[in-house]
Amino acid sequence: MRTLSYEGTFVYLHSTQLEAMQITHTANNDQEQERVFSLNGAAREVIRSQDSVICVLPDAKAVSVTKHEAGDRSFPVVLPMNLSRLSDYYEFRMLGDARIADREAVVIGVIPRDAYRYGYRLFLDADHALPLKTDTINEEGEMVAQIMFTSLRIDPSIRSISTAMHGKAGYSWLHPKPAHSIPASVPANWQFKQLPDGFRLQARTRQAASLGSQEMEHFVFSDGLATLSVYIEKADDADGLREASRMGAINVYGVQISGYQVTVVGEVPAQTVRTIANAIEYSKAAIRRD
Amino acid sequence: MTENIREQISALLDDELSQHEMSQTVEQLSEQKSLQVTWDRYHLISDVIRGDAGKRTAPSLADRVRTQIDAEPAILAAPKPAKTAPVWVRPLAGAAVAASVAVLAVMTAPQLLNPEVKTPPQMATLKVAEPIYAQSVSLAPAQGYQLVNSAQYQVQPVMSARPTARWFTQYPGTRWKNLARPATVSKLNKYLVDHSEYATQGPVRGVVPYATFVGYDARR
Repeated sequence: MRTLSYEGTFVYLHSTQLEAMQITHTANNDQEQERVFSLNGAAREVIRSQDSVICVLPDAKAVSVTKHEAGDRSFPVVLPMNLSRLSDYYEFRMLGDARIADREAVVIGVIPRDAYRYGYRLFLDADHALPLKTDTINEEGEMVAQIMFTSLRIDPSIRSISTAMHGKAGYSWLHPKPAHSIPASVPANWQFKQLPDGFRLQARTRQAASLGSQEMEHFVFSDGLATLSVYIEKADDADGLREASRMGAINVYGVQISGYQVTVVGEVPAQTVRTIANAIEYSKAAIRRD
Repeated sequence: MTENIREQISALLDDELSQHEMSQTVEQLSEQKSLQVTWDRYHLISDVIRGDAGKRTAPSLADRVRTQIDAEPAILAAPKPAKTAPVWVRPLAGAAVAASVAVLAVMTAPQLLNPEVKTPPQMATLKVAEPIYAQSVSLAPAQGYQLVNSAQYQVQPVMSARPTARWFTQYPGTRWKNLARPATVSKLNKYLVDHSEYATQGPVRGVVPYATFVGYDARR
């Protein structure tokens, strides 16, 4: 699906909220670009390309541009689907055929083996394996999110992604400092005891302090399908999350540990972010190497 | 009619027949009147199972469905969805059964609301639909009902609670639950956008994290 050029409209239902969005994805000469554009409410958009992520927020009159370091990509951490590893945590089942957005689809159930991850019902395009519909199902068997194409055109001639930048002259342009990845050999100041089965450290980055934000350390964990992030920064009494919250299928949990604000974010069940937040320990023994 | 042909018709509906078998069955279908009736019946059952039956507007449909209920009790005897975890992995069966119950309830409820058929004997066979029946008869005849919560596939009488202005003015929006502090919300959004960059790979995640963000409702 990453090598496909397509454009379409999809709807996204999470909890009881329904959104409609337009997506354009181009893949030309290994150069990928993608634009996701909200069709209702504020006309927000996110444009991803190989070296940057641009967020246009008309409601905030702001454009945020995040550049990536050379070598880094904004399509990061490409995880090949490792079925044998995944099958330790998920069962895969063919569920039959369906028709979505006037296209033939093959339905696959991805059934979690424990309650630390969601299940998925994938309706994959029979010709291109693009997910035409994805149901995210929680540990209670309830659908927490559904995303479904209502129209889709797969066409290699889709070449460029356009965005309407006119009328946005008065917007503030934000350039958050890029995060730098930290090699695994550098010891972390943080220890994670008792991670849920299968979640492994996938990436670790550090973002330098910039205007309005502190130095931040970021850990990415994944079981091969589900991904969650742990953000750690110096505790700021006013802003830190010290409870659980969620948005659709995304759960967050915040705690303060040794004067640091720890926030776990991911498209995983509530108990997974909580378990991980509670498994974090500040390790004084580790030597900081900045 | 042989059991074999019945099976083939059923398989034809489920797109399980090979090209050869299919043309053979279709040929037999077009030749035999009784087979056509069977086809019609299976097709209706199939529609009901898939929840498509509402699309058909034939006036006799409710009667036909009722006949089918007697003829095919297995449809209704199937377990209800949700609650037990593995049910959702059989969507083409599990959810469909629930949908069929809902569709049946929608179609049979007008009869239930009719004073003349307050205790219709044929409804006694509607085992699964009994609670719906109980709800429905508590309504005054003129009042409507509708499929309120299609996700749960439950039919609820709309008028059982009077709609309040609050339902309509309380627009939920897309936002973090239980969070009021703008600074915390903005911090979480920053995390979410950053996290999205790591989570947008793979067949499952696709565009969802970005979609969450793009659709995020800033209203507080």
